[in-house]
Amino acid sequence: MTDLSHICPSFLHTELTNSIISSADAANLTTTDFLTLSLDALAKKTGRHVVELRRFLDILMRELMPQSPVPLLVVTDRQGFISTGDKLIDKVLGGRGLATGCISEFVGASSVGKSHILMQLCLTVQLSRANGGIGRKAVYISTESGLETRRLNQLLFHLRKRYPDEASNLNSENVLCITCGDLEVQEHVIRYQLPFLVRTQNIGLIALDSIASHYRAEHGERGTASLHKRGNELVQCAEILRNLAAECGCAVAVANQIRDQFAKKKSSESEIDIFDLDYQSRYFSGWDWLDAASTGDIHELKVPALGLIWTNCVSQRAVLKRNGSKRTIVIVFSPYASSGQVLEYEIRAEGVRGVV
Amino acid sequence: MPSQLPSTVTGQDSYNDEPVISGPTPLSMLEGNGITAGDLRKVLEAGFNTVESIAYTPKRALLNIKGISESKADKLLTEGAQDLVISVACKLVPMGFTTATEYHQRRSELISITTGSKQLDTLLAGGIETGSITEVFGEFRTGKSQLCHTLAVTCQLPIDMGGGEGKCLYIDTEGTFRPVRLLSIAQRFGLNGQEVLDNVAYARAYNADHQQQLLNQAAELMANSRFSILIVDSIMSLYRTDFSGRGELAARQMHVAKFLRTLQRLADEFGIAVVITNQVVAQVDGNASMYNPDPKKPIGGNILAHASTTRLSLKKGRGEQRICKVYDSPCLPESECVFTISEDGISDPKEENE
Repeated sequence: MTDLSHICPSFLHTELTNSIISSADAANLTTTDFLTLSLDALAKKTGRHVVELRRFLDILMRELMPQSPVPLLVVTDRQGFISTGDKLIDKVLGGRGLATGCISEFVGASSVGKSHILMQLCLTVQLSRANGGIGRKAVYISTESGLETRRLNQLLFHLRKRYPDEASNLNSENVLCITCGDLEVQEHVIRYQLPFLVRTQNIGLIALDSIASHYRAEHGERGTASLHKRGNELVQCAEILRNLAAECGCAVAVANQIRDQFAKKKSSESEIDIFDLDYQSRYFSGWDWLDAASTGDIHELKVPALGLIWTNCVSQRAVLKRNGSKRTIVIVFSPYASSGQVLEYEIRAEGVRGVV
Repeated sequence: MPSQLPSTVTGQDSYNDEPVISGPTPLSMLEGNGITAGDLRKVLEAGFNTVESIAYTPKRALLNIKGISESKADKLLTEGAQDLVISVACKLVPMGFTTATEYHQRRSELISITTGSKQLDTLLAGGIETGSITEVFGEFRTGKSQLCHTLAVTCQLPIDMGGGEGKCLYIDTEGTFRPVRLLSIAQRFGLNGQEVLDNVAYARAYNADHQQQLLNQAAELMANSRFSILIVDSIMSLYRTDFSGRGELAARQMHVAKFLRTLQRLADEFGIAVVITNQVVAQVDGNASMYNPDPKKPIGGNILAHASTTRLSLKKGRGEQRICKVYDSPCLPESECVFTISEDGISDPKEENE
C-alpha cells in the first residue's frame, strides 16, 4: 500500500496522479521510494513510462515543498491556552491552562477525575479570551460509557453563575459528542469524521476519553506482531490528532488508563542498570519506582497504559492520583510547565478545584 | 447518474439553506477529487448504493471489493464523511456526532431501576441506572447476591413503581441463585410469583469462555423480547480459577476487557441496566493501611475499574444492616447509606421506617 495520499492529502487529482497512485499502490511503493529510487527503477517497478513518472515527481516535489514559511513571532502569537477554570490547576499546567496545538494526556486510575477535567475543559474552551477560554467549541469522543451529560450540565450551571456576562456563550450545544463502541469505529471517527468536523466547526478542543480502552481489549495478544500492529495504529492516530491540533490551533486532551507495573524486587538504585527501561520509566511514567521502593508500596506501582510508544506521542503528561479522598495532580513532562509540582485538588459540585 | 455535482465539499453556507438532508444520499455525490465513475460502479456492484452505506462501512470491507485499493478506500471514506453531514442546530456535523444537549435529552429518557430500599435509591439518584455498568463489590455476606435477587424482581415492575417493565437475564458463576428467594420478593411487590420466575432467564456459566459466549446468546434474546436488566454474579470468580499466576495475567485481563466491552455494548444497544458483582481481596502487602482504614479492594485490576461506570462498595453493619458507599461515579457525590437485608429482599432499616 502506498502512503502517497496520506502524505499529500491535498494532492491535485488529475488523471495522471490518480493512475500513478494506483500503480504505486499495486507495486507497494511509498513516498520515500518515489523520492529516493532512480527513475529507471521506478519505471521497472510501476511499469509506467519515465516521462510520466518525471512529470509526477515534479508535482510530488512541489507538493512536499515547505509552504510559505511562518515567522516564529506569528507562531508564538497563535499559541493559545484554555483555562481549566481554576487558577491553581492552570498554574500547574504552566500558568494559563491547557496549551493548544499539541496533545496533552491526563492519566490516572479509575475515579481520579480524568473525565471531569475533560468535561470542564469542554466548557471553559467556550469562554472568551478575557476569561481564559478561546471562544470555540469542543468535541468529546468517548470510548467508555459516553459523556456524562448530567454532570456536564451541572458544571455548566456553575460556570454560567460564575461568568454571568458570558452565560449566553456557554452552552452544551457547543459540545459535540460521539461514543465509539469498538476500535474500528474509534479509528473511523478519528480518521475520517473528526478532521472534517474540526475544520468546519470552529472546534477549539478535542477531548478523547479514553485512548486506551479499545486498544487494550483488542490488541492484547502476546507477541511482538500484535504489539507492533498496535504501535503502528497508535502512532497514526496520534499523528492525525497532532496535525489537526497544529493546523486548526485546537487543544487535544486525551485521558489514559493505567496498568500495574510488576517490578522485579528492586530496592535500591544500584541493583538496576540505568539504561534499563524500568529504571528510566521513573522520569516519564509519573510513578517513581524508587520512591515506591523506599516507602514500601512497590505493589502500588502503576504505569500509564499503551507503553513507551504512546508516551512518545504526547507532548504533555499530567498524572492524577488518589489516595483515599486526597487527590493530587502533577505534571510529568511538558513543554510549557515545569515538571514535578504537586497540587492537591478536590472535585466539588462546581468542578475540579485546586487546594492550597 | 448525474455528474453535475460539486467535486469538493461546498462551504457551510450553501448547506445552511437546507434544514435537514433527508433520505439517502446518492453515490454520485462522491464523484470527483480522485474518485472516478468507474470506482463508483465497482462499489455499486458490491452492493453499496448510498453514501451512507459507504461512510459507515469499515475500511476492511471496502478493501474486499475487487478493484478498490487502500488509498481509494481512504478517499471514499473521507469524501463520504464530508458529504454526509446532518444539520444539528443549523450547523453541519458529520453523521454520528450529536450535541451534548441532544445527547442529554436522549440520556434522560433512560430510567433507573429501584433497589427496593428508598435510602439506597436516594443515594443512587433513583436506583440502578440503565444504559451503563454498575459494579457492586464487597466481602461475602454483604448483600451482593441479595441485591441481585431483588433487582431481578424489581426490574419487572411497571415504570411508575420504579421498575423497568422488562425481563431479567441472570448469569450466575458461583451457583448462588435461589429462585425461591424471588418468590418471597415478588410477594412483597404484589407480583405473581410464577410470572416473575418466567421472566428471569437464568444461565449458569462454567468457565470464562462460556461466560463470554452467554453474552452472544443474550444479545439474541434481547433482540426478541424486552429485557431491562442483565446481572452477572459474580464477574471475576471464573477468571480467578481459569487463569492463574502472573504468566496468564495479560491474557486474563484482555479476556475481562472483552467481556466488559460486550456488556457495555449490550447496555448501549438495548438500554438495559448491567449489574455485576465483584469479590474483594485484603491488601496484605505494603503499608497501604496507613492511609486507608479499609484495606479491602475489589479484584479485576485496572481494566475492571476503568470499565465500570458506577462502583458501589458494600460493608456489613449492625445485625442485618449493610452499608453502601459510592466508590466511583461520574455524577454521584461520594457518600453512603444504610439498608437492610430481609426475607423479602433489600429494604430500609426498620427503626427509621417508624
